Amino acid sequence: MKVLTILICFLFFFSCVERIEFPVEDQEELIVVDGIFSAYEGEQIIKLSKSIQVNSQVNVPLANASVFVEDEQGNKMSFPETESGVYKSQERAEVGKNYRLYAELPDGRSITSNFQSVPDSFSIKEINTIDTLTTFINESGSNQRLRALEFFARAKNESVENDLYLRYKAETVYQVLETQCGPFHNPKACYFYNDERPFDINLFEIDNSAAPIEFETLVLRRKIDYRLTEIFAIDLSLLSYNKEEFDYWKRLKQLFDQQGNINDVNPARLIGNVVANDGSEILGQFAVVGKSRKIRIIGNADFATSRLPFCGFAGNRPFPLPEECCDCLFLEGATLLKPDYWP
Amino acid sequence: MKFQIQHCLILIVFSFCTTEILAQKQTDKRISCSFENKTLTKILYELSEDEGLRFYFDPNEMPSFPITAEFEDEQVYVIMQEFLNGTQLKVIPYKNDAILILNQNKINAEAVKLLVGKWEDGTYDYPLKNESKKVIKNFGSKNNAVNEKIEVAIKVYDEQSMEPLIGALLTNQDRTIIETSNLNGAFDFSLPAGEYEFIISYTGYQEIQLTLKLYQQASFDLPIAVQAFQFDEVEVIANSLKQKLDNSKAGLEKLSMEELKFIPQVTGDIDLLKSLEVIPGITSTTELSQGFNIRGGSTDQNLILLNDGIIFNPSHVLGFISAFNPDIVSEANLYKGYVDASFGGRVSGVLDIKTDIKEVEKWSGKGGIGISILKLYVAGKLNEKLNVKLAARGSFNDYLLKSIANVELQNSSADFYDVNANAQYKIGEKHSVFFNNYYSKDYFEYNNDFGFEWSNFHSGLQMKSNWKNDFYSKLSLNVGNYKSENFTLNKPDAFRFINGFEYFKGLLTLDKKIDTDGFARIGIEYLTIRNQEDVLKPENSSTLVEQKIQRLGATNVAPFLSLSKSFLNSFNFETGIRFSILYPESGLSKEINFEPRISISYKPGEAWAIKSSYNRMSQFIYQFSNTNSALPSDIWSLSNEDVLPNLMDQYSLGLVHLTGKKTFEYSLDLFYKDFENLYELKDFAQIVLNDRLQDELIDSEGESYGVEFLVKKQKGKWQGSLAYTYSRSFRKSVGLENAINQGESFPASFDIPHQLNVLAIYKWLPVVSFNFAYIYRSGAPTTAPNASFIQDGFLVPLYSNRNEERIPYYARLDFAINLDLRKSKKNGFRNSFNLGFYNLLGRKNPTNVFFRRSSLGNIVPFQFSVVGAVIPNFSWNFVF
Repeated sequence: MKVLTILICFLFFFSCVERIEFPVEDQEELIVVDGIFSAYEGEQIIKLSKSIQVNSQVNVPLANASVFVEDEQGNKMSFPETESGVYKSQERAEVGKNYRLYAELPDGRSITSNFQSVPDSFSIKEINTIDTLTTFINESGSNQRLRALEFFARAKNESVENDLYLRYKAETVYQVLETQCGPFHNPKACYFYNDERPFDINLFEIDNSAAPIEFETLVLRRKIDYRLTEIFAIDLSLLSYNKEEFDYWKRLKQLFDQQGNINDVNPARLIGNVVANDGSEILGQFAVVGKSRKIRIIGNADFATSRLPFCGFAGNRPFPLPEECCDCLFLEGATLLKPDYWP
Repeated sequence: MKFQIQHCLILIVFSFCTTEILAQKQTDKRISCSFENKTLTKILYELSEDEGLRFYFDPNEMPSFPITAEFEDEQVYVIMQEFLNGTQLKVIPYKNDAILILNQNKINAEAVKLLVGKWEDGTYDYPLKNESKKVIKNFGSKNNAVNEKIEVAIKVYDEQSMEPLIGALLTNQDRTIIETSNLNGAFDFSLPAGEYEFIISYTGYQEIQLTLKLYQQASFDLPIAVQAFQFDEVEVIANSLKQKLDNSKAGLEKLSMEELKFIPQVTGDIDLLKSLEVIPGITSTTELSQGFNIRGGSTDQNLILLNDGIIFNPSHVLGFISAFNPDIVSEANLYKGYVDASFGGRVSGVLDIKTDIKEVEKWSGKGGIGISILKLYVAGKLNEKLNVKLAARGSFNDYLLKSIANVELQNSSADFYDVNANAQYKIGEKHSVFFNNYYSKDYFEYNNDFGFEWSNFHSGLQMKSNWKNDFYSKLSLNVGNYKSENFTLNKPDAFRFINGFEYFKGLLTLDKKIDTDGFARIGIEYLTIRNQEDVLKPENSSTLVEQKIQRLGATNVAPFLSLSKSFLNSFNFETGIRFSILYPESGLSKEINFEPRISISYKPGEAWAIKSSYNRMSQFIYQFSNTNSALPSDIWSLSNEDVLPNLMDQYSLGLVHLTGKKTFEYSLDLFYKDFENLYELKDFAQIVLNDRLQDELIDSEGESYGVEFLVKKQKGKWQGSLAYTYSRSFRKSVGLENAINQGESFPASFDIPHQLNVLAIYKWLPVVSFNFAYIYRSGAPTTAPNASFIQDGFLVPLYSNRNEERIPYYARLDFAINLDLRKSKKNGFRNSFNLGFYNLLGRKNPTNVFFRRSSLGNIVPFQFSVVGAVIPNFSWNFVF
């Protein structure tokens, strides 16, 4: 349901929503688990971090933990730390088995999740885009109408044996290609992963069915700017959760959907499925999921009117030329790590 | 032209005469006098008696507003000018020994001659002589007179409705008060044998001049008629200072419409519920609160009765306006402390509203129009036995919205109306039947997008009887329902969620006076509530599949007994007991609760009273809301085997003091409440279409405590009140499984520690007043993020423990000017006007603080204010 900003205002035309300062006492740092373990081929990643201040966006990784995924028989798969706070493994789940997280933290505590089975997956068939005008909320809280590209995913299964609890997870990458800045300069491409925090949490509950089930969903909306027009990729996964873990995402969505409406569900503290051996509070979730995946790459040709890349192109460079066009690593979030699916 | 010249000449002559006479005649006389709450007619009468002044006036044109004034060695002319300020009446000396009071539109020789003639031939006389009724009662004869004191018991009651008149005054001829009638409408006292002259008076009723020849024990009933001319000004009897002192019920507030009209409101009209906030101990968390909180209780813990019928949602426009038409309300009592055993089913308090019919001589009415409300009220007599009273009120917001150049608003709606239809039939002298009906309806829609629709219905029949030997009975049969719909439109998943319930309530009370100063009541209440199906339906071309659930109802049977008694001339006590027996519809075992109640008051002197009370009450119906504000679509649920009736014990202690001249009233109250079987929703509870709602609840207990202070001034040009309340309300989960806030005690969402209300009224003229109201209250508790964390790319706000933070405080200043000409004459069409400014300081008071992501992805606090600016309002009311 929509809204309130204006809800009652239409009665008296005097209501308002405004940004305020709301000082709160900072919470002590808590450990956060962010892990997904699936039967899908590829890297399995578990991230450990610490909670941050309410107005911060900077991740504080938790390094030097020993992380495992354990099955009910006590077999442990080790997840070595590949970068600070990121623990990876190439081993994946086997359908029919139950798994849980087990980790030993640097402070001596150990944490565990509940055991979970591997749910059935649901297939993504295609990703389509629409160039449109849409409303964004800017920093001051007011609305802005901007051109945007909307990504719609179509998913379909011929039948559904068990009830499914699904969530779309979208990751994005875009490229900035340097220009030739001198005779000895070798232009390189920088990649930017997940430069914007995802806005929408798309959740679906699918009842078992012998008949085919198909649905289409808006999975991403992006302002149209240079980030989309050079090369942009959406790496979309459709994750299938166990009921308890799915409920966690339903709650998380309720927190995200707070609009100040009279209809808003009262917010509350989000409790995950990980506990510590000393009873201390652990945030986040470790989920064993079913997974399907689809990648869509777009470029300038996908837009009705072509757009200038960040560094332009031969014969049409921005003036003055940004210094990042000579070294794109100066751009925030830039990396030279190219996705394995990049064209 | 000839006519105009004639008038001018007459005026010149009058002016000349005036000048001449002012220098030497009656108007020039200097006198000292004082009057307190007296009508002009009565003042003229007293001046004629005390000062030998002679007045000629048309009694039908005299204003009826009460006048309080004091003059020291002042000219009669000046005094009269002061009294007539703001009216159409003029003072003119007449001949050498009289004073004319004439309507300025009727100043001509013929009118003067006619007026004087009517006084001289007796057509006109002081109405006071006619208003009083002489009653002579003989008990025994002088020959049989005894030496000891003789007991006298007089019971006064409304001639039409048979209701006892509580708080009537028995005075000597010099108006010194001997006794105030008790709950039973009875005066009980003893006197030596002899002959006595008394006056019995009660605001709005005919005065009784009682001659009592007392030579043996005397006991009799005295029916008193309503003063016919005052019908169209029927007002709730004010909670006068004296009454407050004498009343033995701790925490009882008698609401006076006459006082409430001075409280500025957003609609420019009296708002019964919103006005309650000036009473210490009554709060609401925001402008959008549906209902009010009594002494740290929740809104669903208040029993709101309209003529014994239960009103479940007392609000229009999502809580912005009360759903009661003030014009039809004849009496409203708020019980926040001691609650009579005849009331039950809710634990915090009772708002008992009555729309009784008083006997009238002719058809009359009231009406008005404000910025968005139109209302009309008529009352009259169909025959000698049948009186009727009808009222209707409606908004015309939609018309306004359509005229605004904003598509969203043009596609919105905020309509409401309420209707009352009452009839009273008199059966002989002792019995009457009162048939009353109420219906209110709201439709709220925003931009063809979403909305709410809700309605209250009540229909009741009361049979009142006044039997022999001080025995009274009332049988009340009531049916009603509450329906609510919550909908979205024009979306693929558009829905309409419908819920509601219906009830039947039967109430029988039998009242008996015991001894001379006691009163007993027994009765039984039967209340059954049946839930209608909760239905989720697709709306428009929605793909949603219809779903239904049927939640079960319950029946409550509650016999009760209450007693009141005075002793040692200084003590009053009331006590009662109620057995609440609950039969869940599931057929499972019944729940019995025993609810003892007692209130004791002690008057150490004429100016002091100490009151204390203890109450136990139970409640078997709960309102569950998992949103920021209580909404019409909230789920009402009944107790069952898993959700036991809520129990509350309240202890209160109060002190009332009147200053020597009874100008100021001071009161101080302390209270403590202990709650058992409270049920709090779990975090993220799912309450819609949930037939296992009990699985979403956490058994809790709670406590509230506080201190209330009030100082009130009801005399003089400056009047008003200052009320301060310190009140806390806490909840705590029972057991550790799913315990909220780890089982620690936490503030209830309506925990408002500090509330200050100041009401200042400047009565510039008898018909003009300037009214200021200021309210300050602490911010309501809220749950706010105090950290965040990253989960799969999402920045997740980590909310504090429940209600650990507070939204900013609330403060508002309102102002209104009342021009009330309704009392400037007794008959005909009379007006009143109100010009007001709600939230004069334009403060953006928070209704809600919420947190949402900005385009940068970070979590940012926002404040929503329902009212973020000054809201002007204007209303015009009339009586005829």
